[in-house]
Amino acid sequence: MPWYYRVLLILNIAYCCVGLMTKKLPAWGMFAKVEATDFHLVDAQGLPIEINSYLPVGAYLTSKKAALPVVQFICEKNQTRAPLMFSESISGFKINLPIGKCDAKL
Amino acid sequence: MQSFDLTSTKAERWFYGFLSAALVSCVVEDVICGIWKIHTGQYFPWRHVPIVPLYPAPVLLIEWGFLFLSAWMIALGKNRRLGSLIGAVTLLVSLTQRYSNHRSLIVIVLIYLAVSSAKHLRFAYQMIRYQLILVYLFSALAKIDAGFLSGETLSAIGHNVRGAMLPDSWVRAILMSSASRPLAWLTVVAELGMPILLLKAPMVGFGLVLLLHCSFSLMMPAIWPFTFVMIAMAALFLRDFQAVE
Repeated sequence: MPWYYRVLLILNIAYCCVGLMTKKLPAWGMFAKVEATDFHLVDAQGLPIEINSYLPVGAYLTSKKAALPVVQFICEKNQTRAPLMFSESISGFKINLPIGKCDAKL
Repeated sequence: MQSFDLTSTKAERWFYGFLSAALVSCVVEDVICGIWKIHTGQYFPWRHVPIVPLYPAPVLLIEWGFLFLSAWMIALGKNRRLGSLIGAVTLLVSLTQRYSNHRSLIVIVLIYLAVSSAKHLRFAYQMIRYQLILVYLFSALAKIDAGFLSGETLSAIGHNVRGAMLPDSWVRAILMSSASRPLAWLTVVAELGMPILLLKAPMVGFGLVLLLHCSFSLMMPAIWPFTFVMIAMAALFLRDFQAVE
C-alpha cells in the first residue's frame, strides 16, 4: 500500500481518538447525547413564536446551548414583538429578552 | 483462494450506485429541508462555520449543479476520478456553509477515490472499508461514553423529532416507550457487530446495514445521504462467491 494511504489512515484514527476523548471535534459521535427539551418562546403579548419555523427540517435542538443562538436570531427578527421570554420547561430554565437586547446566554 | 482485496464487479456497481445516490440525496434534502431559506436570511444559519460568509442563495444552484454532475459521472463511470474530485471539492465548500457529519463522510470517500489511480483503486476500496469500520466503532464508543445505553437519548430524540418519513407520533411511540433502553443496546451492539459481520458474512452484514440505516432514515429526517454512503461503503465488503486467484 502506498505510504500516503497509511498516513491518511493514521490521521483518520488519530482524529477519531481525539474527537472521542476531547468532545471538541465532531468525529462520529452523532446523537450520542441528546437532552429532552421542551422549548417555548413567547412575545410581549404572551403569543407563542414557533422556534422550529426559523430552522430547516432536520435541525435538532439537542440542548439549551444549541437553542440560544437560534433564540437570539429570532429575537433580532422580531423586535416589534419584544420583550420575548424564552423558557425550557423540563429544566425550568428561563431568560427574558428585552427590547433591543437579544444577547441570550446560559 | 478468495482474496479480501478483490471486490466483485457487482459490488463495485452497487458501491458507485449508492455513492451517487448519496450525492443526489444531498441536493434533494437541501431542497426539501428549506436550506435555500438559510441563504436568504429567513432561517437561522444552522451549523454555519462563522469565519466563512454565507453565500447568496443562487450560489446554491451552482453547488447543487456540481453535485448532480459528480453523481452522474460516478454513476455512469464517466471519469469517476474527476467526478469524485468535483464532488469532494463541492461538498468541502458546502461544509463551510453548514457542517454535517454525513457530508464530511462522503467527502472522505470521494477523496480516497480522487487520489487513486486505476492501479491503486483497490487501496482506495480498502481505505473506504477501514473508514466504515472506524465510523461504526467510534460511533458506538461515543454512545457508550455518553450514557446512550440508558435509553434516555433515544427517548429525547423521539420527543424532539419532527418531519420524519414515518409519522412523528409513530416515532415517538417507538422511541419514548419502554423499548427505548433495549433499542439503545441493540443500536450499540449492531454498530459494534456490523464490521465483524461484514468481514465474516458479507451478505448478511450488508443486509443488516441496509435494514439498520433505512430504519434510521425512516425515523429521523434529513439523514438519507448518510444512509446511502454507509450502504455504498458496505457494498465494498461483498465479493465474488467464486474462488479467485
